[in-house]
Amino acid sequence: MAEKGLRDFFLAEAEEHLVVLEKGFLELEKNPSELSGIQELFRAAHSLKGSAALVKLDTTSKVAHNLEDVLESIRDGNTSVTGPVIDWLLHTLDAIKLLISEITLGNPEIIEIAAEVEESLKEILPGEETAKSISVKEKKAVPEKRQVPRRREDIEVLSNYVRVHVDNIEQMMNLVGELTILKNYLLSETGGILDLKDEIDYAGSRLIKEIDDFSSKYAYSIPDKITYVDALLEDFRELEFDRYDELNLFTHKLHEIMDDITEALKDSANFLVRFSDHIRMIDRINMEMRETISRSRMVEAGRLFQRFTRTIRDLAHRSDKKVRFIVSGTETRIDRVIFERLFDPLLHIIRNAISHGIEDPEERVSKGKSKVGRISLAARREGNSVVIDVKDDGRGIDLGAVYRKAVRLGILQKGERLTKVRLLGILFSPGFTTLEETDITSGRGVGLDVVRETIAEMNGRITVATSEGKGTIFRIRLPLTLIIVNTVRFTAGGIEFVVPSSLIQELIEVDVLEYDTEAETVPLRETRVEAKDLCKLLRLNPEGRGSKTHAIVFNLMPGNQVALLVDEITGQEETVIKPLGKFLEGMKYYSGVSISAGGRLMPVLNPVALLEQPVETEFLQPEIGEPERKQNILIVDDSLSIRKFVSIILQQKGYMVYTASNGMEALAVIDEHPVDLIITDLEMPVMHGYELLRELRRKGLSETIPVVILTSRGSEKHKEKAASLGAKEYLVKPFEEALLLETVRGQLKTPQFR
Amino acid sequence: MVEDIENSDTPEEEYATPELKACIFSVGGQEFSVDMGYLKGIAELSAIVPLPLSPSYIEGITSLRGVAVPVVNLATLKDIQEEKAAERWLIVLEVERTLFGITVNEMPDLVADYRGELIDVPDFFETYRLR
Repeated sequence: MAEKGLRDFFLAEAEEHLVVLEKGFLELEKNPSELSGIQELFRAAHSLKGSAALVKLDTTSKVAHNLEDVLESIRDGNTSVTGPVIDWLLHTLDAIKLLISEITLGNPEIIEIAAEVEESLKEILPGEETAKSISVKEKKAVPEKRQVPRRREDIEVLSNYVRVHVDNIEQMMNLVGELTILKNYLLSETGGILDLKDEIDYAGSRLIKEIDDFSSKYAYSIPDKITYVDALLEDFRELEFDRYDELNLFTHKLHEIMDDITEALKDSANFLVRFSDHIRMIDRINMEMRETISRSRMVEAGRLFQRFTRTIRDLAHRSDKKVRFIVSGTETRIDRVIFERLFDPLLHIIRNAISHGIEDPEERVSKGKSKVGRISLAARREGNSVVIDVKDDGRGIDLGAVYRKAVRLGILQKGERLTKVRLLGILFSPGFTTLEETDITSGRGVGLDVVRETIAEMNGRITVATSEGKGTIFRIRLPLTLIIVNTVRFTAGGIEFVVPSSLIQELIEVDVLEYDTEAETVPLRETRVEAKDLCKLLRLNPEGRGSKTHAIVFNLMPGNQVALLVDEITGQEETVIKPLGKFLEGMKYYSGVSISAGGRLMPVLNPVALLEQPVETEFLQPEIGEPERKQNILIVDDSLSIRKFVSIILQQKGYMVYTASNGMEALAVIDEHPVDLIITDLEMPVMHGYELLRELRRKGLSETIPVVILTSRGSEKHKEKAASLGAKEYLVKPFEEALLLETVRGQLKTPQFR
Repeated sequence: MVEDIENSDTPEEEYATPELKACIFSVGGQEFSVDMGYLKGIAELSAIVPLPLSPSYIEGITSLRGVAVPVVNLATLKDIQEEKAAERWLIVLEVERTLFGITVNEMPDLVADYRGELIDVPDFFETYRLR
């Protein structure tokens, strides 16, 4: 077990040494006379040898020792850097890589390699007896005259760095994620409590006003009628003793109680202000913590780019082209997970660039270009994203060829006109490759569609720009980290989903009448874009859509926008996305699950899969009859408790409830949502119940939406007025729960025009 | 449980360590068992979030202490008629470090021996997971 742990450390360390060596060897190849870096290479080989021996990987250690010897010989000027020497160095490096990859897989070392390397050593260091001397030395494992200084170096390094396993960082990140969820929850709760405080304040001020009105109205009339029964006070004249009648005492008491409430509210408000300040502080710290932790699991883009140096050299060599590889922004840090998954897409693009983009040297010269083509990889950070550009200065993408091929494949109609961006977008369509035959360099039967999919899985986007004769740029935009993601929440058919913001171009409001169900398009500024109804795609029944609904516009393929119609956009938040797990990993329409502030689960929609891959029939649910649409009731009352109370009664019976505190708010709700029934109070600030009835009639809604009055005014005069304005029923507070429900049921039973 | 103890003359030591080997439960009157080795727990079923477009036997996902657990409806899967119940239970199973649950209407029981149809959990997992 201990040795296994040590090996893991060794493997992590070895990777670093190999990167140093590979980079160094390639530099050496470019500049054989530049030997300033040789000491570093020597040290890398030396450390590799020592560490390998320590974990009993003797073959690796032996090969590293050979490498060390050659480097030492170069450093001391005994061997000069020639082509064969470079080749030997690279080959030996490959040998070590092979050994290490086997060890990583848990296999034993391939011991034959040591002999092969030693054999090949003779070709570049003839006449020396290195081979023999090594085998003798090696028996004693790690000997060393250099041991003492090396140790000191190690200590210096260790004092500042600790190795941490990626899993540990992952766990920390998950914990930060949990904190984020909790923090979001607390934030949303305090918001609610502050609202509640406002409500109580408002209710209190109404109470005071009522009391004052009441007492001022009766203050003058009452004293005359009252005969004082208190024998003790009979002797006083009125101005001599401040005598309180019962009413005065009562209002005085109410004032006192209200003062107490106000005081307590003030205290609790102060507490809440401090409390939310603290939560905001937690929020900041949490964010910083996340940044710091995610930084620690980030890797410099340069290390990723480095891995292409050899590939480009080999590919260029094989296709007889001359290519110079340029990197920039190597210090830009990217998430380790992205780092690992980005290699294949980048490799694909680079392969394409070499085989299709960069011209033969002669062709380049004839075009007046430099004989050597250029491929550059550049990384930079933009806000919460990382942008990576892959650029070549080759012949550019032949748009005509793309067009012809698209027509041949049936993607485009002959003569169809479309923008350049849109045409380039076709390159990412499944099964599209411009070169008919696959060749060793670029083709593997996979096209740019796979590249785009891989990037989309990481919530990223890819775009391309090209200029004929000048070159092509592929731009990849990715989020900084994959665990905590900014998402947009929305509902469809009563289910709440989220989708990563990085995939979204914009959120729009859509007039339902503007949605062309035949052509499946919606208007977007001057044009119309393709639009799919999510409820239809997911076989759900839309809920809560009024005359307007919402749509999320995605730009999944460059130049090709698709809008997804949803029921309602419910919010935006930073959330933790967890994978669905092995049982459900085949559900490609979801990329994971998100946990909301209240601990609710929300599936993360994968728009790429949903919008582009046809829904397989085997996944289809058997239709189990049309589920009943919930009926929507709007409760209008300025009293919070009445709104709450009635809501609870109705929700328990399965109705969907909206609330408004006056007529004006009620009209706004009706504009936004389909309402089947209104229950309203008469006396309300801003717009009272009669006005609301009049407005509904003016809008021609009185016939379609029945209105039930729920008021404390019981007089016939009030009733008649309401009826004359179109109210269907009249209930007087306090009311019976059963009567309310019966009235609601009765009103909803009459068929409605919708 | 209380009744059992009061009415029984069995000495206490015989109660001590019954070897529990199976979790048994019934779906629409049919009995099933699973090996205790795969049982992660039995939970009262809370809100299920449906996953549209999934096969009908997958009711959705439910949250179990912050973990999303797929919920399988055995009645739908085996085409067993079952009445709707107000209260349901989730038998949480674990295979290959992956949790999934089976819904049942009646509280499952832990007993010493298998009863009814034995569900081979790893096989069930392999057969019904979506890949």
